[in-house]
Amino acid sequence: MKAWLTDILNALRLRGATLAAVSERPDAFMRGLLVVVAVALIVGLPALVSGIVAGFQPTTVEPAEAQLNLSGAFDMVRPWLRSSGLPDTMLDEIVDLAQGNTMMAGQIAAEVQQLPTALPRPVAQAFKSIGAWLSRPFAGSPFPLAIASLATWLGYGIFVMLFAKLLGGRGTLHGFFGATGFYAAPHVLALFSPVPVLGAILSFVGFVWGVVIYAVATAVSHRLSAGRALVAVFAPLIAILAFVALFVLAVSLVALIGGLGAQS
Amino acid sequence: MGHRTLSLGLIFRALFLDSEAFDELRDDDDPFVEGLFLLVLLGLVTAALNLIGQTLAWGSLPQAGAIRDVVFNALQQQPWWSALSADPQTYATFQRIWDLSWRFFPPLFGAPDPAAAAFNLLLWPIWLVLSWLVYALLAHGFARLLGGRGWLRGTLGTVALSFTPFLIRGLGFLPFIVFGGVLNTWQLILRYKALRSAHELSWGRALAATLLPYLVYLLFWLLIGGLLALVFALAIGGAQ
Repeated sequence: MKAWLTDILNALRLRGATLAAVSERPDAFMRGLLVVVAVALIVGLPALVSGIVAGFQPTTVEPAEAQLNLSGAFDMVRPWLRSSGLPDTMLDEIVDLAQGNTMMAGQIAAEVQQLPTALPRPVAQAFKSIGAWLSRPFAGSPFPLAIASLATWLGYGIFVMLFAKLLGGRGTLHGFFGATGFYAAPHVLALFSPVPVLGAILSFVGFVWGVVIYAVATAVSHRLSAGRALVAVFAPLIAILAFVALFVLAVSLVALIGGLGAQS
Repeated sequence: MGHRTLSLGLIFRALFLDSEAFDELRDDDDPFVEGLFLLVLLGLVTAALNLIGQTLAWGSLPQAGAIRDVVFNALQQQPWWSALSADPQTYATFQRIWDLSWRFFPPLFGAPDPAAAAFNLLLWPIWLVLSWLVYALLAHGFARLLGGRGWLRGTLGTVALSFTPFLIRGLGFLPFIVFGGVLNTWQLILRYKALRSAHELSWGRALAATLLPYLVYLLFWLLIGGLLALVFALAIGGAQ
């Protein structure tokens, strides 16, 4: 345990020798996995505690409150709908319908929360919170390596491993994944994400710091130069973005040609 | 009875990408039987643990019938309800779609169902064994085409170890845990290691042998989708 924590501290200080030593260990994969899982669970602790506490409190969702929260969103959408060429009468109808549906959804949510359950409410709420907490390590990431999660570590890692091999890397799978798992360590800063402004800044710092550790880990586990390691780390992202851009371009072209065809 | 290679230690070593674990099962005197035993046990144990989780989740949520009544009452308060209920034909159509939706959608969105979870005690071992046999046969064929030198029984043994990430589904004894696609990604990595061990292929060829069966799956489902679309189109054409 102490050696593992020392490895994490050294990884945070970007000590390539430590990451290289981790990648040589037979239990490298387990060590990397434990970092990802531990950080994901630590970051989820505040939500776990507040979820369990909420089980002992009366339900608070009121339909009127839910509608109030969303009325601002409708006001923001209104100019956008107007700019798309919709007449004002139709626009009012759409917004009225959406507000009516929101009101109904809020009413349903509030009534469902009041329904009895076979298990006492605090126990049921504790189960939900623990389930959500334990699901965190398996959660998908909105952007590669943006959170501490097994999905992005393994999913994105496969592509980085492939590019590293194509660039002459000599690393093993367990060594590569073991070393790169330490990217998750700085994501512990996401603990502060509920704090306005500062939370977002610290989460971003954690993300960038994590990417740097990931690049160092890729370089040392594959014995690649820094330049090649960076290419291996970013090439999958560039390939994904290029693919998405091409797809959007193709769809736009088809829509444009279809629109021109319909007009002529 | 032959020598027993399979052990909890070997399973965990394979799970954590230890190449030697795959080599040990490959060199066993009967990797097929060891693999079959592993997958049946894995299916039974995880399904049993999942049944506990599903039962606890079922007890933690309001009954589906009560939720359905709440939604129905809310719909009845909508301004368009009186127009809908005034026409018997429209109301009957609504009632049919409503009943069908409440039978179809809750399981689709993961509503807890202990009865279905109990059925998994039978379904999961069968599904795991079938999935194992189909993938191993396809991957073995591709590996041999790509210059692999392994025996089928070795491939079956090592590929069986690639199912070990599904052990994590055993955590399902706690309700409301969502695993997403991680276990399949993990399994893909282990399948690569399994084929590399069984056939001693270069990394590029092992990767191709790992991925080509997925291409076969894709083509198969496209074919099934195409056939279904054709049958559907013919049925509509016939009705008109």
